[in-house]
Amino acid sequence: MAGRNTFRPTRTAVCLAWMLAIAPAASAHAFLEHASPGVGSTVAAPAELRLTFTERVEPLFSRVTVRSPAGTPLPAGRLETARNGQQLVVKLPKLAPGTYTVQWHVTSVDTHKTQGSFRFTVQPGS
Amino acid sequence: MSGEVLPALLRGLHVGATLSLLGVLVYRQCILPAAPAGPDAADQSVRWQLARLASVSAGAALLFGAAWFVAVTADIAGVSQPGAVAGFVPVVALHTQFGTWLALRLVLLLLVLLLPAGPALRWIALLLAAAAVAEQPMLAHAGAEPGPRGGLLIAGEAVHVLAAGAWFGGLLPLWLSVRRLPAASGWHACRRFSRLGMAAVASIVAGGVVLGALLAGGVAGLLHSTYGNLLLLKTGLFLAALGLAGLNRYRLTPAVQHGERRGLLSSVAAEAAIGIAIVLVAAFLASSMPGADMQHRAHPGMSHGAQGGMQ
Repeated sequence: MAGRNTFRPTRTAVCLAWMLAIAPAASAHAFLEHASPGVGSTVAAPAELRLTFTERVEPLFSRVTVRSPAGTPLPAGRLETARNGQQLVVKLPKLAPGTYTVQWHVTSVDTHKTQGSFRFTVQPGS
Repeated sequence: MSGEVLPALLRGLHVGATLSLLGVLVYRQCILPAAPAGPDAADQSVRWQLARLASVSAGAALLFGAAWFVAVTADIAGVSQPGAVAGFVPVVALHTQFGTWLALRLVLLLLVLLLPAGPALRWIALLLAAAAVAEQPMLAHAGAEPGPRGGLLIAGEAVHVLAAGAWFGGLLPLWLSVRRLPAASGWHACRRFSRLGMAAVASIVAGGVVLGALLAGGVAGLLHSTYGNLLLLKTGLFLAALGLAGLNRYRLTPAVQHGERRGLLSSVAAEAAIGIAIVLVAAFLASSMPGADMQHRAHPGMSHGAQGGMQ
């Protein structure tokens, strides 16, 4: 019958395989995708720290600590989220020149925990 | 018991009981032959046992689900004292994705358990149980993935677990029917269950392919990660169950017509045992780091020991 809408299993399977082939691998734990200031970067004193993860995180059960060049934890503002929960934002006090260490521990929305650390350097005029 | 093993075990027991509930309710509505016109002791016995099995499954799912909730709360809050854990329970229930979805599931299970008996409400019980199963992706890796890939994972896992519940959860009711009902009724139930099983297998494979393709991390991930090894084990168990299902359909079900039930009863029991093993393996699979994630561990800013918590 002309125009009949029939189910074609082979075509459906090929379409599904193609969709899967072009889809990038998923992530099932929250890994650090991007940081601002960047990992190992040298920057002018930033007003805030933004950590973007590969999946959404639970801010109530995540922690970010920024340590001064002397190793002292900086007074932390409230941890805020952006980008639909994939990004953690920390307001920073005025930073003096030197190398700072960022330590993060996050719990993704599927309750898996990950952690990491990196450094960035503050240098006037950068 | 290790702090990592207990939540995974509780997860497996909770999910297994929830799938059992769905399978029993699907079986009662879609597979069990219509009640005979007159009083029939065998038929009434099977119906009573199915109702009891549904209640036990719902109760076990509630109990293990609540225990899983508490275990995960203790882990993510980093506390172990009962009072401290209790203080975090409402926070997790109201302010985390995991807690909100698991609390919703527990409410659905409670409603199924409290629904009055009666034919009119059986479809409602089935729909509530199906909703409880279908939200599984939101408690797992799939629900954490943003964007279109997350949507694909959620759809794939929902189809996967609904089909698994209909198949594996229906095996014990099938066993009871074959054992208790007259041979003709038992054979009839087997034929109908077989058709449901084929649709379930197709759905399980389709959903499994989506999940595997996006999470396993290819051949390297399958061979060189715990997740990949567990996935291979689960696939092997699935193929074994599929082999038994084929044996049941083509060799042992026809024999039931002639009054020979022992072969099918043994085979269905073995298939159910494999189903339980698959659910437990899946629970540990959901608690381990997928092969697709291994590449991220080397990202700048990641600790070498980036932990994949076992919830």
